[in-house]
Amino acid sequence: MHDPFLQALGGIVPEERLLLGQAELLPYESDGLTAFRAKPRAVVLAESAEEVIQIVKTCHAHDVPFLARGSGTSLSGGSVPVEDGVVIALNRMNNILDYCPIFRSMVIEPGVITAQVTQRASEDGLYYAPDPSSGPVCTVGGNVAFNSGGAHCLKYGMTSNHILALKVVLPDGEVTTFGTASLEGVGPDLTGMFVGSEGLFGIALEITVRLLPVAETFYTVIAAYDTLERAGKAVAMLVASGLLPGAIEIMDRLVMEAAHAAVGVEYPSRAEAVLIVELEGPTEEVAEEKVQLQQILKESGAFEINPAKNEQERLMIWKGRKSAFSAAGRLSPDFIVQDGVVPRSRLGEALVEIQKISNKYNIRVANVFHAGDGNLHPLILYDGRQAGLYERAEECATEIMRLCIALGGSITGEHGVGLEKLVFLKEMYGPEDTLFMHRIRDAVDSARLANRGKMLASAEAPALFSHGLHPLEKQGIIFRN
Amino acid sequence: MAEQATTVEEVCDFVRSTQHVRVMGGGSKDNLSREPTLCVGGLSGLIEYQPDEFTFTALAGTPVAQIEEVLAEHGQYLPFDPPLSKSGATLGGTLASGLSGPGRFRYGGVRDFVISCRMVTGAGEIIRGGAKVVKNAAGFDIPKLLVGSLGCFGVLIDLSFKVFPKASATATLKVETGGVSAAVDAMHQLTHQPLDLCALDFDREGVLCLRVGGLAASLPERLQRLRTLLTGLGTIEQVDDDAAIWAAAGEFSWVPPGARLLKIPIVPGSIARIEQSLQNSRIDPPRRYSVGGNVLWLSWRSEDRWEQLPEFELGGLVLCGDAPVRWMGHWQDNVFFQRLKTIFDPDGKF
Ligand SMILES: Cc1cc2nc3c(=O)[nH]c(=O)nc-3n(C[C@H](O)[C@H](O)[C@H](O)COP(=O)(O)OP(=O)(O)OC[C@H]3O[C@@H](n4cnc5c(N)ncnc54)[C@H](O)[C@@H]3O)c2cc1C
Repeated sequence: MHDPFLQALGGIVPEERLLLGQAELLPYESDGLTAFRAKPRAVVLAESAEEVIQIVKTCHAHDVPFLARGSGTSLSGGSVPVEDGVVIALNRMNNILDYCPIFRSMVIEPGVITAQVTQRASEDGLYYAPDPSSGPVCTVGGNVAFNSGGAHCLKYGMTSNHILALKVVLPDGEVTTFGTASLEGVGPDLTGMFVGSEGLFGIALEITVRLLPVAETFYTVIAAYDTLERAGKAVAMLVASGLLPGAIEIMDRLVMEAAHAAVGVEYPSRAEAVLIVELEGPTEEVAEEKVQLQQILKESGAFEINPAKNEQERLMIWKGRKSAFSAAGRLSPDFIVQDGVVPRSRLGEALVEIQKISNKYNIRVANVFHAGDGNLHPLILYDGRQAGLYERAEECATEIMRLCIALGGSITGEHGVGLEKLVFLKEMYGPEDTLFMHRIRDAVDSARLANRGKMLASAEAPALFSHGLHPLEKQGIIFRN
Repeated sequence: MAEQATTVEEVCDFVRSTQHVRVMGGGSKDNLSREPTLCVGGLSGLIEYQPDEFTFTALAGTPVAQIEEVLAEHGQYLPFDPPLSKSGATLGGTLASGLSGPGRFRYGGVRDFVISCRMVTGAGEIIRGGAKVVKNAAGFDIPKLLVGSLGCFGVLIDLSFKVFPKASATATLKVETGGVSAAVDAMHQLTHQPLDLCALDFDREGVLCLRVGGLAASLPERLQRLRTLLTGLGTIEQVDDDAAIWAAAGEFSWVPPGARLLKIPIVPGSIARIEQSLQNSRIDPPRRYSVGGNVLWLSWRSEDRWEQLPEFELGGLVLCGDAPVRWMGHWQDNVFFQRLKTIFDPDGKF
């Protein structure tokens, strides 16, 4: 090894944890946005915070870009390597460092799998609220980078609302900490600023998460509607009613068919759309709320309302919901998944517009939403083998994203900007505010080493597309929300 | 004399032409807005409120009380119980001081409800962060950064928040546990249970205040269950005027006039040690533990030695009273903070 940079890396980790060969590097070339690839110079399998710090310092000294990688499930190209840069793989840093059930907090390494936090806490009646569908495989470090969401953000917020403290290494190797295990602090909320920064501010080495007590009772219903628009309006009615359900989700006909085929869940046969609503809380409270809920659902035009009769049925409803997108692979060989947000009161309007866009491009769009938050996940279905369809699907996706901006929403509710939405960040925030973000990044990382080229477009950004399933989805291990 | 700004342009002009900018909103945290150079109380008013969207945007100088009143007309509220609203706290001041009241316990603090902001930076530019929707993962989360920033990044112009439906009924149980340590034990028994408590505070006598909220018809049953859980922990009493006692807590009515008031973030596990140091020193300052033992609100009389606080490992934000400092702590040494500061405030005006 003559390259002094690689030699320096070799001084930090043993040979078997420094991957350099083509075959070894291959699995790290892409992420959940499978169509997009780049070749890293090396992958380092880090096992401790100290190693990560040394690697970052070495990258900085040699002016080599780097990025952290959790499980590589990003749907926006966030964990695609920087060309010729270093991938710092954090999966092996998966220790729970401290768990304090009595204070409802846990300190973990960034490579801990999201679902394992709840698994560990559940024996004490606690759980970690953020629940991305990729929870069984994605890491909390990745969730922190993207401020990930899930079906239950409505009441308890996204990842950011559950991160109390961080230890991070900045892009030049400086190590610092933000926050404490207390729910409150003094001084600017640096933790809040770091979360969602998509790896541009450096690497989270230690994460303190907040835990909540598991609700005593759940009441989960499926309500059937004869049009998607009516289901959308029902969401607005529900939100306006003053009930605060744990989750409000929508699935349309196409998605129901796919979910039925994939996991066997039965949906009301004439339904063009279903709403899944979950109430949670103390038993007495839920008992009273469900009467209200049923009333609203009836008024909103639901022609069938099916509550889960037991925990098994409830889990089945969620299995259907969480399988929905993976199941969409049955509807179409390729699809683009979007993540825009619209004001909840304009959801009905957005659905009508999406239908129009779908008709205009003559491309099928399947809809499954975190409706209560106004977070849309339209699936744009196409067959990449047919000439011109890929481009058409891309135009269709772009138009939907612009619709979200025009309605006063956001281009991403939880998947992040990554590579995929680079050009749209500026459309959403305008040139000045985007430029200001560039300046912030440059102040933190003057050499632009940390996850270079993501979130903030450097020059003309490449057009990128997500199509097809993540390999783990194909195996039915994870599902997409 | 502080300059009065009533428009965004006036704020920009002032920032561009002045070397030292210290902003005052409502002046309810007198120690934080001491010797202001710019008063933004005139930058006031609700800009946008869509009740069915559960979000609003208001100018930063808008009194919180005014917003709470409008929200209440639609059965909505800011779930973090912004403190000092009756004393004139403004929306911007609440965010910049990073203050949340007892309701922080249930759904989160001011950081968890702010969704968007517009501000004037030290260079006199207007920038916007966040979006006016309840979920957004695009770009850096500038609104969160400003929480607790004490004006060191710029002058807030307007802020957007998400809000929640207000419980149709609330009630509070008071439990006389006999002392702080008994109150802490009781708290630990409760915080694991799925009780959906809205607030959990206690004072130096160990009187635990537990607030429950929800639909009116189911509330009595929930209270009954809570009473059963609390059996043996001390005398239990349901307070007559639930809203009044929490309003009083939010105004710190227990703090003697003229005394300093500190917000000290803590973890519940440190309470025993804090109580021990205070006892050893034979100072028994009025105090209240809030947010399930995550905040200590401490009143420190002017005759009590200031230097003792760090000796007790106590530090925090000094909101009110005449104090030698605005806060105690080292967040300004943080390297990430310093790098951000060079962009927001290149000439060190704030
Ligand atoms: C089937 C499927 C379903 C999904 N469902 C959801 C969902 O419901 N909700 C949702 O929000 N997302 C969802 N996602 C997207 C994805 O799982 C999340 O974005 C997740 O947070 C990524 O975690 P990861 O460990 O795979 O991170 P990676 O993909 O490895 O990395 C993501 C980004 O985080 C950075 N990063 C990783 N670790 C660190 C660290 N320690 N410090 C700093 N930066 C770091 C990386 O550099 C990269 O930019 C889904 C993805 C798939 C494939």
